[in-house]
Amino acid sequence: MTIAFVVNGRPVVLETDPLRRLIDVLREDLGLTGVKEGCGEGECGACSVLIDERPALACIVAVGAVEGRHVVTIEGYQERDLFRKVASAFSETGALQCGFCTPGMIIAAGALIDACSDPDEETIREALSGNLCRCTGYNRIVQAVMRASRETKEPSSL
Amino acid sequence: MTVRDDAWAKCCGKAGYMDELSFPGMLHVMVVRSQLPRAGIRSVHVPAVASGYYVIDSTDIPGRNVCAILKQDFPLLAEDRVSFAGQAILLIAGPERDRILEINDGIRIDYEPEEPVITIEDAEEGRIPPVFGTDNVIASIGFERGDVEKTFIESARVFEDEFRTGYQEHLYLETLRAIAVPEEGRMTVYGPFQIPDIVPVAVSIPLGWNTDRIRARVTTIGGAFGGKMETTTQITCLSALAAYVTQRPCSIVYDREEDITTTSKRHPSRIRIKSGVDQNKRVRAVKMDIDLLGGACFGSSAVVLDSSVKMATGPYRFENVSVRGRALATNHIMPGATRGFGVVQTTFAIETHMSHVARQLGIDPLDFRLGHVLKQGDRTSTDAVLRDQVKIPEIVKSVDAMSGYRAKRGRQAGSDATVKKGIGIALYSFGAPHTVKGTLRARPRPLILRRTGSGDVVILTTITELGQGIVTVFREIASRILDIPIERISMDNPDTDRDPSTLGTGASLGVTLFGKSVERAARKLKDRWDEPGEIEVMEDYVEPGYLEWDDKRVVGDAFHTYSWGAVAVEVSVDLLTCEVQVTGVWAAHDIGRPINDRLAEGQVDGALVQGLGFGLMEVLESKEGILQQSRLRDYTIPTMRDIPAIRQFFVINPYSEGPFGAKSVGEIPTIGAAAALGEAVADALGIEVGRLPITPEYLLDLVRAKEASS
Repeated sequence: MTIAFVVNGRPVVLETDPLRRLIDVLREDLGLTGVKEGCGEGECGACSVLIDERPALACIVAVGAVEGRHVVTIEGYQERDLFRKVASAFSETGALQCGFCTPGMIIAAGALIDACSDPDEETIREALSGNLCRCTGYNRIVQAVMRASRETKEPSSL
Repeated sequence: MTVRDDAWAKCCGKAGYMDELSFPGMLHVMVVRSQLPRAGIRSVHVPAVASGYYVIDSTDIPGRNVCAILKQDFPLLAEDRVSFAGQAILLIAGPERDRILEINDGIRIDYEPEEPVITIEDAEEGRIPPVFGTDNVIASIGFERGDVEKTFIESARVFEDEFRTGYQEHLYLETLRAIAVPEEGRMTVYGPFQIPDIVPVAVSIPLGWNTDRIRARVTTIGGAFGGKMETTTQITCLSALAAYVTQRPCSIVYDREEDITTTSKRHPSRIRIKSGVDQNKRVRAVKMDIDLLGGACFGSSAVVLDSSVKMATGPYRFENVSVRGRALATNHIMPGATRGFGVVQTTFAIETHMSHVARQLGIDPLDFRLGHVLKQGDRTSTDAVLRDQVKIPEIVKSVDAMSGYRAKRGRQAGSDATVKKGIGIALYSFGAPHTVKGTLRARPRPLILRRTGSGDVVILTTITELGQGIVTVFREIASRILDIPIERISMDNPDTDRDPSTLGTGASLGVTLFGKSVERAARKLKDRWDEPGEIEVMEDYVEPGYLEWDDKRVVGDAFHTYSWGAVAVEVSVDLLTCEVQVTGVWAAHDIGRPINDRLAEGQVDGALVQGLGFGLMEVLESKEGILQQSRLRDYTIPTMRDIPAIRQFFVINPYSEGPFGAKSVGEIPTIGAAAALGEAVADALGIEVGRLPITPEYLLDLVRAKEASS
């Protein structure tokens, strides 16, 4: 079956089984290996991508379901100003260790900052509870998200 | 503070992990595994397979059918029998995953089931034919100081407890994987190897090759926690076998279910403690019987048990001590190295027992424990003199100041009718590095600092970055000594063709032992800095000259030094659901003087949460030898919502033999979290906890038992 969608701003047309997992199409057919697989059942958040600007888990979405839609992976997301702010906050706060959860965590964190300009700790812990990290104990991730959200607010307040 | 050099690449998901790696013509390999914990294999039926597909069994192994862990007693592929569910029997290799699954569907294995050895009791009773040797004892180690039995007789009171702990899965986010590439009579294997040096040796055995024909290249490791040490040898040997047979690059990737059900974990334990208390309410004698539930082969259980036994009595001094430990074989996967290395279990036991005794004596449990804490100049249970200051009192003071422990303790239980609050504290220590002087393990472990012609410095070593930040720490050490910017110092993922065999990362010895090698090498390099062209300095590790260790008698300096810590955990317990919510975590540690505070704090944060997960929610149970949890859906680890903000502090206590005064930090913060959690639950409900994890089901039993008795 022919499936047409947009990935990181570029139109993609694929001849493939519509039931294939989006993560496999992104990683294997399109070489977007920044999409990480941690569990394969929507429990860990490592494969977080944006579908029409809303966070989604690429391991539990069939590629047929993104027909005509816009998918953004970390490869496309890193071109954004918000990525630079969140990634800088993660790097400088020490919010990453092994880094395997980090691309998905950053996409989820960015989506939260987009949706809520000044999230408090409870909001962050609730919103990102679908993204697992085994290394950091989450402490510094929460701090990094707060820092990034503060920094995104600054230009608009000038 | 220095930003780690891999941070940006990791944010972008392009840090050189295995899942970014692919080779032309690469085949996928699936492992066909035993469905039964113990059985003879009557026959294996393999369907005809299409050209380009391969089904590989033990007869295809050109060398010996051995997966080397510590001893070589574990078959790489099962021959006529299986000893645990998940044991590898066949490999299916080919270009398309769907076709591989079709082949797998056509394979029929006819088993002759036998009664498996499941529990520690099964293993010691001997009713079921043994799995290992004649008595299922994989390893035993023990010692006695003073006269324990005599002291029990003289004691005013004697207390006995039994503790149980369950499996804990490492749950690194990147599952295990390996790729083997045959190249001109050699085999290059790629993988997230925590200990690269063991890989060529392991792969050489089934291939029947010399080790110099095997090259191990480490990819960026997506978390390890001990789970990518000995465990990587099996998957790597299997991929190398497939590559040998097919003469194509071969990739094995475990999905989460395969990873959880077939790779190592923290050893379940049963720990019995008996203590004798005199009329002054001091513990005069302690006897500990530690039994670790092992797998069907030797594995690495002996090494884990070794730490359990040597650190069994925690941060306490008892005049009369007897510790006996056994690792017992059962028909399960082999548990193995896991952050905290057997000391998490024993610390839960000794801490809980000490508090239990204190309550029965009517003494505050923290005061009682503080009264027994080791001091500088005291002798440890292995009879080592503690040369350095023991700052447990300062550590506890710091935790109390942050948490309000003393003000809160025992005062919160009645605060609400259905939700009870409680707070607990645990004290603990962790010895590292292990003293290897005079043992078979003593051998050169060099690393190299190379100054290139352009004036940059490269650190060559097989020490691996697991996420903990060792690369940044080594670069910082070299930068401080050489007085050059850290950006000019680099350290890549190891390659056994290029790097000297430093060992790898494990047992909390990276910074203290090999960071010191970096420091010494950097000093020598600095002396030679004006020489033209490229300069190389090779430096081996050095054990302090004053250490004395007798491996046979288990006497002396078991470890170079000790890190110390305390953690307070606050909980609220819903009496209707018996669910425990962690509402506060405060910790302080003496890790010498940290090289990089931010990285050290990151180690503490992560380890505390891993320890809390172990104590609270990570349930992994065997039913007749089959693990009942196999995915993240049913094996749940802490999410951001399950854990509150963590506050912590370092009590500075420079270690004269460590680089810039640093001691180990990787494992110690894992040690006490579950014990503190248990104490908090005990405080909230007025019960005694004896088992981990503290699930709602277990807690309900305790609450009902308490109601029935009152």
